[in-house]
Amino acid sequence: MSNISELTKGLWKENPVLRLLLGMCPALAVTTAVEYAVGMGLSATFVLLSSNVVVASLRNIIPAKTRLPCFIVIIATFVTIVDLVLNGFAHDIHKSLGIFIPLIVVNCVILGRAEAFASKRPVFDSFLDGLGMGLGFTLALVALASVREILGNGTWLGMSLTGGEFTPVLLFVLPPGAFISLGFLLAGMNVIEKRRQANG
Amino acid sequence: MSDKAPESSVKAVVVVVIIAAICAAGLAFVKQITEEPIAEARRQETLAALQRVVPAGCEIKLEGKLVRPEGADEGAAETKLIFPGYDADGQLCGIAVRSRNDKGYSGKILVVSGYSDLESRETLKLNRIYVTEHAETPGLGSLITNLQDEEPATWGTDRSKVYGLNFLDRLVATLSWKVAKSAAAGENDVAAVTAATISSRAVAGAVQVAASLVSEDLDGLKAAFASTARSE
Repeated sequence: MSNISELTKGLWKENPVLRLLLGMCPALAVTTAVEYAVGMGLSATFVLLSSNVVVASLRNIIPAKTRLPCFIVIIATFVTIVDLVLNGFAHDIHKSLGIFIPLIVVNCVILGRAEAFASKRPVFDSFLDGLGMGLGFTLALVALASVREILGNGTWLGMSLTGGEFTPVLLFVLPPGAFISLGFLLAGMNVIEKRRQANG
Repeated sequence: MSDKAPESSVKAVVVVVIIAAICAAGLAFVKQITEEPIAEARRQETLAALQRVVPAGCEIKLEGKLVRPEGADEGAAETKLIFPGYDADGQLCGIAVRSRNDKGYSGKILVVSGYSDLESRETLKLNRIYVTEHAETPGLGSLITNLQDEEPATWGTDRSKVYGLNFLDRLVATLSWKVAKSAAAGENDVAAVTAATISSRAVAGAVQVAASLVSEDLDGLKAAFASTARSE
């Protein structure tokens, strides 16, 4: 049963973006459109999953003093592999995601999970943690991008929603819109969480 | 994790080195597998982009490329690559130029621009442009590429939304190259994409360099490409 909670905690209770406030930079930068949010989320999930598994299996070998360089090298390796493989075998996807992939190296969700979880826990738990956190990261990005794309561009995943009836508020696609939307999302999360605690 | 000094320090370093070495070996392997598909995909992509900017029926020959300035490194900022396009009779019918500008919001932007009606500098037409490489902000600067993968017939007329319209079927001699916000842009100016003036300016800069190169050296290029066509 505890295994299941390793998976689900990333989706809501410890959502990396909306609860732990990790990975703010990609969350603010790439959420101008839902398409980019999905791409960034899934690429980061793959890297997070792989690095968690490798770090967990090497947790008894990696020395405490030099653990951070070890983590970074492992994470950077997976990022480069994703970059090369996508570029060679899925060139079109690489073209639209190309600029986000190198950003994953410095995504602190991944380093954070390696340090806080995978380096202390068994491989399978780390796998579930990586998957859950990755999906939670993706969901948070999609939520933020949905708000910004709908209000700022009048579309969702490129489909027009408003039929030209509504003039999009450009601000939401610009950087200030990212902060404003994120602020309201966080506030909403806090309200729901408070109610849940009051009821429970 | 044993933390006994001093041998643990040595061990710590050794482990990092070993992990780095294994990762490097793994990457070398992946690189080897993906090298050829990446090169081929790039070649196809370049050819497709070049083909897009010259008139239909005009076939680009990648092998016939000229490098300006002559002998320059192909990756250098000031280097222009010039490709000839030939029609079914082997006559030169278009020229495509790849040029670069480093003043984008996130640096390097590579643009190919195509030219037709090569009779003289007065008739020289800028046919179309295509941005092949950029790292501009998604959703803002990246709008310089809006609809560039679609046919121009679907582009509409709003230059502030579809940047390519500024460079579609234009007489090179009449273009002013002045980049202005769309409301203030005259007929021969370049109308910037809304909220992406810097990116728009960088693309216009790259195209201007390419267009003046073709226009100034039109006879030289025609002679050079005519002889390549004959020798093949």
